[in-house]
This record gives sequence, C-alpha cells and structure tokens, in this order.
Amino acid sequence: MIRGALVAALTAAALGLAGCGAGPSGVLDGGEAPTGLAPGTPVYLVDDAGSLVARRRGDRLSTIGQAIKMLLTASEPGPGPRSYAGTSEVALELPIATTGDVITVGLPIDRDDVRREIGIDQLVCTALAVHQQSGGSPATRVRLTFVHGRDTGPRHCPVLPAS
Amino acid sequence: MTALGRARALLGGLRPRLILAFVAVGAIAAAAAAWASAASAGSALVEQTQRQFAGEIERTVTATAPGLPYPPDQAALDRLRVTVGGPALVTYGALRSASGPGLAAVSPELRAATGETGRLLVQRVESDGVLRLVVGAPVMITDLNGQRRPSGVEVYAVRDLSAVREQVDALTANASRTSALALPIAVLLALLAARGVLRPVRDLRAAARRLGGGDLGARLRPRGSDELAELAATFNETAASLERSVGELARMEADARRFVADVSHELRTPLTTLTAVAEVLEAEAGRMPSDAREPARLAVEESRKLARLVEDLIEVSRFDAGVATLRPEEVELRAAVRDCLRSRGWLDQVELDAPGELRAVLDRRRLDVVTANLVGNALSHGAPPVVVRLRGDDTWAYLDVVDHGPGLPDDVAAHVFDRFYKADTARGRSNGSGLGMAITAENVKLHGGTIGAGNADGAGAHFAVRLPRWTGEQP
Amino acid sequence: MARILLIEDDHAVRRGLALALDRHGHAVGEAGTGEEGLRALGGTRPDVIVLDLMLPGMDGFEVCRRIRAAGNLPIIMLTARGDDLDVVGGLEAGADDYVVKPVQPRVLDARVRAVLRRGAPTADGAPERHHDLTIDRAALAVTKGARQVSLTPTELRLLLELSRSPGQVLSRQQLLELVWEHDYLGDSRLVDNCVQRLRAKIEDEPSRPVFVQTVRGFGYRFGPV
Repeated sequence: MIRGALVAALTAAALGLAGCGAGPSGVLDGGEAPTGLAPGTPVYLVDDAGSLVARRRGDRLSTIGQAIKMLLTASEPGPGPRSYAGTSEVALELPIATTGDVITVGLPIDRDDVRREIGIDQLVCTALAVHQQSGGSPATRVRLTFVHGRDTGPRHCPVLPAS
Repeated sequence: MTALGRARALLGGLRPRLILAFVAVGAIAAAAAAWASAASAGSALVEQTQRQFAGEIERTVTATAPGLPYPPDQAALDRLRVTVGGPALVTYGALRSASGPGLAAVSPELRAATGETGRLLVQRVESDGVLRLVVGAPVMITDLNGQRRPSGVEVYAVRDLSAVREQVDALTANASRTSALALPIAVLLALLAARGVLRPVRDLRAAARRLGGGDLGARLRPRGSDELAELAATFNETAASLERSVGELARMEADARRFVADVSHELRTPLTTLTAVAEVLEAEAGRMPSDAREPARLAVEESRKLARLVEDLIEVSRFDAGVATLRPEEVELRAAVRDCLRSRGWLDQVELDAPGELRAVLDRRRLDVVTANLVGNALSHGAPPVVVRLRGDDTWAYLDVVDHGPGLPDDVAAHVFDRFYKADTARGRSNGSGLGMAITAENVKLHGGTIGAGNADGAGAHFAVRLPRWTGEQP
Repeated sequence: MARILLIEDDHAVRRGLALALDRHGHAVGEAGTGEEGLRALGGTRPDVIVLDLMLPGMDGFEVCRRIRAAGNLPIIMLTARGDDLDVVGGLEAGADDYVVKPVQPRVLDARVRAVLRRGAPTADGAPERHHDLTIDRAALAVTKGARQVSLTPTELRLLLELSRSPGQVLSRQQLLELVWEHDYLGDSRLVDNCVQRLRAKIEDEPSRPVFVQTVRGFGYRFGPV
C-alpha cells in the first residue's frame, strides 16, 4: 500500500518535470504560413462569351482599393475582354470598411454608371480575389455603395470559392 | 548494542517506519504537485510566447507581402526583412537578406522543413546559454481557386526567450519553496496519523503481553471496521478460546487431583485395618507352620509399602491442592538432623558434618522429611560414605547430601524430582513410593528454598538444599 | 492392662484395632457410634477412650466434648485426615492426644500407656504453694485458694513438669517428650492447646497468665510468681 503510493508519487513527479517547456526543442508546428505574394493584381473582365475572366495587372498583389481603381480606369482598346464596371477618373483613395465578414467598398460612381449587371460582379470578384489572395477568408462578402443609387447587398463572387 | 544497531532498531520499529512513509509520500506528493503545476505553467508560458511571436510574424508578413513584387528582387527581400524586424533572414532562391545577431540559431533542419511543409514552424534553440525561438515562415501564394502553394520566399525570424525562461525558473523555484514548506506539515500530519494508526497496534501489543503473562481475560475493544478491528476481533476470539481450553484443562486437572486425594483418603480406612492385622500377623508368625510364614511376611511388608504410598499420595495431593501449610518453629538444625538419622538407625552409616549449633526457624516435620528422603535416597542408590553437611549464613541454611556412588547421569539429574521417576528403570519397584523426591522438592519450595541435584567433585551424587533461615519472620 | 473403649464406626477397623490392642494386653470394649460409646461409659468404666472423629450421627468432636464435660477421662482421637482442622478441632474439644490413620497398633499402645502414666503419682513430699496455687505431687491434687482444681491427667502432668523448677524455660519439644512421651517430631500444638486449657483453670486472667508464662520463640516457664 505504502510502496504503491510512493511509486505513484514518483511517477507524477517525473511526468511533471518532463513536461517543463523552457529548454531547446525540435521543429514544431507554429500555425498558418503567411501569404499575400502574387505575380500581379487580379482584375476581372468580361470576355466575348460574356464570362468573367481574371487578368493580372502590374507585378504585385496590391490592395482592394488599387485593384478597384485599376478596374475603373481600365480601358480595353481592341479585341479581348472588356469592362462593364463603369469608369472614373477620380484618383482618390476609395473608402473601404470591413464589418464582420462583409467588406464595404465605396465607389466614386453612380449606380447607373455600371453599364451591365455583370459589371457589379466584376467589382465584387476583383475585391474578393485581392482579399483572398492576401490571406482573407473565402467566406467574406462584398457590398458596393455608390455616389447615387441603391447599394448592393453583401455578395459572393460567382467564379471564386465561397468558403 | 552498537550505535548502528540502536539506530537500526529505532528505525526498524513500526512507528518510525510509518512516519517515514507518511513523510515521504506527503513530501513527494507536495513536491510533485508543485513541480507539475510549475511545469505546466512554464510550458503554457513558453507556448503562449511562441504562439504570440509566430502570429506576429505571420501577420506582419501577410500584411507586407501584397505590396511586394513577385518574383521579388533584393529590395523586396530587404523590405520584408526590415518589416519583420529583429534578427531576421529572408531568402528567395539565391537571393538572401539577413541582419542581426544569432542567425546561427536558424538550423538546417528548420530550413529544410520550412521549404517542405507549407506551414509556419518554430524551434527553440539554445546556444551560449541563451535560449532563442526561431520562426520559419514560408510565404505562400494563394491562387484564385483558393489553393495555396509556396512562393519560394522564406522568412526566418529569431527572438530571445531569456525573459520567458527567467519566468519559468522563478516558477520552479517557487515550487521548490512550496515543497520545502510542505515537509514540516507532512511530518506533523505523519506524527498524528501514525499515532492514530498505531494506537490499536499498541493496544494489541499490551493485550498480547497480558495474555502471554497468563492473564487469559485480556481482551481488546474492536474499533471501526478496518483490518485492525478484524485483527482485534480475531485476537479476542483466540483469547476466549484459549481461556476456555485452559479453564477446561485446569478443571480436568483439578478433578484428577481431587480424585487422587479422595481415593487416598478412602484407602486409609481399609489400610488401618490392614496395618493392625499385619502387626498381629507379624507377631504370630513365629508360631505359624513354616509354609505359612512366608505369605504372612509378604502380606505384612506389602501392607506397609501400601500405607507409605498412600501417605505420600495424600501429602502430594495436599501440595497440589495448595493446602500444605508451614508450621515454622525454632529448630536447631544439627540436633534435628541427628534426631532424624538416629530415629531411622542411620547414625552409623552417615557422617554428619556440622561446625556447631545452627539455629533456624522452619517446619521441623518438613525438614525431617527432606533430610530423611535425601539420606534414604543416597543410602539406597549411592554408595557410602554418605555425608550430610550443614552450613549457614545470615539468610540461608544449607543442607548438602553427598554420597560416593557412581553419581547422577545428566538425564537423571533433570528428572530426579519428578513423580514416580525411577532412575533405574530395569529394577522396577523399589522400597520407596516413587514420590519421596517429589515431596522433598515440594517441601523445600514451600519454605521458599531451592533444591538441586548434581555430582560432587571426587564423589557421587550431590543434592544441595538451601532453606531460608528465618522462615516467616525477621531474624 | 488397661480398659480401653474404642469408638469407631467401621467394623473392620474396629475389629482389627481391637485384636491388635488385645495382643498388647488391653481389654478393649467396642462401640460403633458416639451414642453407643457414651452409653457404654457407665458400664465398662474404661481407663482411656480411643475415639474416631468421623462418626455417623453424633460426630467425634461432640462425643469428645460430652466426655470432657463429664470428667477427666483421657481421650486419644483417631483422625482419618490428619489435617489441621481435625487436629485443632479435636484438641479444642478436649482430646489429650491424637493418632493418624492408618495407625500402627504399637504406636497406639505406646500412646495409651503414656496417657495412663500421666495419672500416676511421681513423687512424694509436702504440697508446694505458689501464691494461691497449691500443688500436691503425692496426692496429685491442685487447689487454687480453697477450691480444688479439676485437671485431666495431661493437664496435671504438664503443670507438674513446669512447676518442678519454677522460672526455668522448657521448650515445646521438651514438654512433648516429658508429658506426652512423643519423639522429636511431636506436634507442638498439643502443648499449646494444653497450656490454654490449663491457664483457663488456674489463672485469674488467662489472657495475662501468671503461672504458665510464654517465652516467645522458646517455650513455657512456670512463674516466677
């Protein structure tokens, strides 16, 4: 009986000492790796068939605001995919706010400037692509606001993974 | 006993062993608890620090990377390294940006693993007595379909863990102090516990000792329902059974002795007739026809032997029944012994060695029995000369009877005072009753004296009697 | 030689002892019970009585007391147990001597003769006066003041032996040999008991004796008055 208790106590002591973590260690997992590098900023255009296609601009991922600005200032001469997202010459920083899993992008254009409904998708997809590539969650949705006209609701991009 | 032996005896006791065990268990348990909590707190602290550093690196790199060109150039790597801060190393293929001390801590195994796993990795490395945390972070590219793949850019950051280690050491020291504090408390508790546990054991020992000492009524009060209580119950049962058996035996023995006493008394009446008639027969023998004389002589002899045997049996049963009493009176030993010898016609055969008058207070009749039995024994079993020696000091009178026969073999000396013991078994019956020596010993004992049988140097058997000189009174 | 009344309930013992005593020259009358023995006293006029203590009906102690109440006839008791209770009880009832069964007839004969000798005159001469006590050795008479003191032969012999040399200490053993004619192993209780009875008869205060004085550790002495 006494001997048993002694053995138990010694074992407990040994285990406790072994768990002490203030010494050198092997290679341990430390969590998710960082991300955010990309060979250019993804911008969504519409091809002749009416499908959304991604094109990269520049040499880095950049930010949501800059990607949207690239889309709004893009001019597509000649054949190839085009943009229906409207245009703007305004060089201001776009107001971008994140609330929970919704990113709200304030566009410097009117709702009517978006010439087709697919232009809305172009804007949403471009914003979400940058967000995801810079480590953001695929569950995040985007809401667009306009200078004039109704906001969009929080939306997913139809060609990007949604979760 | 040597000091070592004493120490061993001291530590060998149940109480010291119990206390030692209690103290050991108590102290070890306290130490283990303290150490375990210190260790878990320590490892929690280290892990939290690791997680915090790793998270910082991950966030910093993730925040910086979108602004960097890909594939990166030297300037981009430099920028990344600066943003991460501290001693850091950033590599991309052959490109490399490094600064700060302690980069040697970045181990080849960490670098290899960082290239392969696609996860952020950490490793604690100790060198020059400094503990460092190395974070290895492969920077990933997230494709538009959500898949991630290594970009080839790897960031290594080194952080000093000395502060954390100091905190852990402080925790450990605290645990040691706690353990040390627990020791006296453990001793105190052990003393109390040992006392509680040992009380029944002590009771048991006392009861067993009483039982061994002949107190068959010794019992324990069983307390509780543990093993010791069971032991106490068993002890009580055993003691009760022993008491019953011994009582039964004592009753049987008392019955047997009473029977002997009763039979002996009953024999007295017919023996009285027999003795009377034998004497008549003996006196008339001369006038009998010659063929009737022999049977008459035999009848007379045997009736006398029978009378002597019954007398001795009655005397022995008096001793057994505890009703034999001393009647001490003033006796001059030399005269008393001479009277004894003269009345039996032994004066010619026995040499009385007495320096002078020797006064004593004892039972005259019992002294006569003792002397007569010892001298009679010497005369019939030993060889002349038989010497009776009387001596005395302040408290004792010494009566020694020595013959010059072959002496007593050791096995005979041990049993010579037993009842019906016959040294010479081949001879069968002797003139005595077989109780003479037993009665002699009882008489000596009744006086509070001692008797011994052995052999004298250069002589035969030696019986030594020592009697208190002033029985029942102050000199 | 002497007329003995033997009171003993066991027929065989009685006959055996009677036969043996007869051979020693005595005339033995027999009685099987105490009552029978007491009745026989008047008829046979014995010189000495041999009395068994264990009797059916009236026991030996009671018989002894009644005989003693009637006179100074010597009594020798026969005890079967030989233990203190029997001996002390018998002596207190007035017995002069005792023997333990199984007794050798010649020992009993010696005791009988001894007890009878005590009643025989041993000397002549004028009566001696010790204070108010007069001892007449020739007439075997003792008077205290004007009153005749009735003593058994044993008591008388004890007084005679003690007073023979007043002031001289006699040990119990000496008295046993002188009075009872016992050997060296005689029972000193005989002496002590007889002294008690003698004191009761001759002393003014038996608890503070004047004539028979105890000398502790040695024995007794007569006077000095």
